[in-house]
Amino acid sequence: MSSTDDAKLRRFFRDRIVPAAERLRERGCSFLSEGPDPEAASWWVEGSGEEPVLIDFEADEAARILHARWTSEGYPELAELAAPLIELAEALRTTQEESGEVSPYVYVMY
Amino acid sequence: MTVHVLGISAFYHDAAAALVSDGEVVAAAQEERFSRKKHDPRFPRHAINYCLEEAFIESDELAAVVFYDNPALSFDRVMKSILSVAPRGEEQWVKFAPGFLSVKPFVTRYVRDMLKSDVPVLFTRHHLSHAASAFYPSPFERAAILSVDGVGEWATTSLALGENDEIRVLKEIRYPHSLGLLYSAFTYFCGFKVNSGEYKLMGLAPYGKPRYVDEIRQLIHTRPDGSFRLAMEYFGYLDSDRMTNDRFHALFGGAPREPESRITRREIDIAASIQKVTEEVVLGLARHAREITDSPNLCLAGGVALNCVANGLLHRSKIFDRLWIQPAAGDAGGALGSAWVASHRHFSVPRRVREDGRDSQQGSYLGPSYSTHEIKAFLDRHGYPHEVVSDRTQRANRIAGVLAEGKIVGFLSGRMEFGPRSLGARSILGDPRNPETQTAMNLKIKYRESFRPFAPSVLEERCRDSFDLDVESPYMLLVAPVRADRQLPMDRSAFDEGDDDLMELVRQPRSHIPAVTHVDFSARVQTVSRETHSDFHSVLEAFERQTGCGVLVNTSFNVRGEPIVCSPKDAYRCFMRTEMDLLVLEDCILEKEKQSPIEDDDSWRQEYELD
Repeated sequence: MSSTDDAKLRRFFRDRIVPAAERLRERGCSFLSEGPDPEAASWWVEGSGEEPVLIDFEADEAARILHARWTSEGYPELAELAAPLIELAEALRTTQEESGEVSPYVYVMY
Repeated sequence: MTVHVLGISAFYHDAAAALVSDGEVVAAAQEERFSRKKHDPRFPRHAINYCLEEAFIESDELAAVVFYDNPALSFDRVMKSILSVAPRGEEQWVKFAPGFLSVKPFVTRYVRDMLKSDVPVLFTRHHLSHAASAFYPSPFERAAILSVDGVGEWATTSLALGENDEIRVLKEIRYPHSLGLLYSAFTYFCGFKVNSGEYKLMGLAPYGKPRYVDEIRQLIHTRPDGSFRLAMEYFGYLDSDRMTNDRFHALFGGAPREPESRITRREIDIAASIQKVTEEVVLGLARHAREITDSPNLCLAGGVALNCVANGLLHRSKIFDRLWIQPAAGDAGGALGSAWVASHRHFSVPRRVREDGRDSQQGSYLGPSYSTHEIKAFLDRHGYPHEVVSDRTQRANRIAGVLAEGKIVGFLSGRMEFGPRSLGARSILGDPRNPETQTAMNLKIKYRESFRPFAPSVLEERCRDSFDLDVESPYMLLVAPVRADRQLPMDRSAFDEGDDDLMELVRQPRSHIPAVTHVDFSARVQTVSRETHSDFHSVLEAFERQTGCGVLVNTSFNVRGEPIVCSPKDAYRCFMRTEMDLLVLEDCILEKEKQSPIEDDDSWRQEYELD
């Protein structure tokens, strides 16, 4: 990865992700249940059931789609990240295309 | 008008393409087979081209292209995950985000750029793709469906009900709580490569004792309804580039094993322990699936469904009467599943279940084949000495004779398999009766770890002569015991008393077919019928006529780190780089001693990254 991309990613992390995370924590928002809840009788959650099985998703609409999703869920801190996130994606895509390679660090969590 | 739907999986691992026409699969292939890069995650251009060629269609004849997961939901999980740990996780973000951000929003552009067409591009959910890949080709009108993997968008485990054309996902377990990631964490800890080394851990398990089960039960908690949670304080994958952390290491006696270093008792017993816990969790999930769907049938997909030891146990448990597992149970199968989702649910193509009770996977022989004419042209162009033996019986007799001498045969026949197993289309074959075969094939052919077992292919009609298996197993997805009366006593004392030398056990005969009998007397069986692969069946029949044994060693046609061969060129190259004795390319037979050495140095050994 180029040093330019490295810098962009770090800047995004420090300037956008960290402050958003702090604001979400101040509001008591938690996205991941990180451990077993000893009170819970079951750890299943409701499945997607009858939700649409197929959707459209185009890059030009990605920021709008993500913004709308996170706004409707009540996370304006996340919604604010949508547009800059897709801008970052566009910048990284250009670099990847020039190199002709997908990052070797495509890993199971991502 | 025919409804052609192209399904694609990409950008995780095992990119693939699959084409379904009026609900029937026409072609499916993994990109790695063409690019020669194992587990190639890149956009599957070659596989897509192959699928269109096989179907004789142009891209503008496609009704749709469907991607196997939902990018909006993937973004949701990635961002919420990193926001949960920030300011921790910066290095993880910098390392991994490019591989995600640079591709996931742009799938539609990739497709349209390549196909030069405004074909509709649709996206479905990852676990629905898995569920569809297992249910739609199954022989069942109605079935419970379990998909268990590392993670899709949010779901790591899903329980669905399939009825005719419909699939309803009823329940899920969500990230970060993942049986697949738990198993991968132990794969990593034992020094194997994540997303490719899991089956090595499974193969190591029978050597060990499950001494660490109690420790593992501190990492995964279960409920009577089969649901589970991980204790995330032991794992590193939320905020670092490691699967495990110091707390995990302390529980298991120290740092992870270095890759390629000597395997010790600790890894052997950990392998046995995680296998046992995985089986318990899978059985718990299955019991709950039976309870809430009340179906006697179960379909399985997702990477954990490649744990064929757990599958065999599930079959023997009789929680369900019938079991069907997608051969390409990992992410490659998502390409096939997503194409079916679109065909049946979007374009309303009716699903057709076969009346003879068989599945619609076509033996999973869904990739390219090569005619004798093409093969001869290749061989003649390069001046590779060969003979053509067109008569099937004569050819089978010749091959069987060579195998009966203890020699090793590379076998390319018919359409290439879809999925990680070789099923007789791209296989290396050997004599299972010979106690030296396992070591010889590991060291001289596969160039891989010598503890690893080989799997048998057996005439379907002869399966019960050797194995305690009461169903057909055409896709090598079930592990079953060798019949008790065919087992030979083993002496584990030297090994159990602290020797740690796995070869102590490998060297013991174990059964009448030692090369395919694992150290716990188990075998990962493929049953072969004449209907699904007549050429391979003929070779097995000929071997039985000559030796009295209707079983062969069947291992994938590749060396370690290399994708399974696809073309005659790939096959010839692998043949010449190993100590195989005979190569069969459809009707053409090549003897090693008649070939001139390839003008090649040993640099090819660095060509393939070790898996």
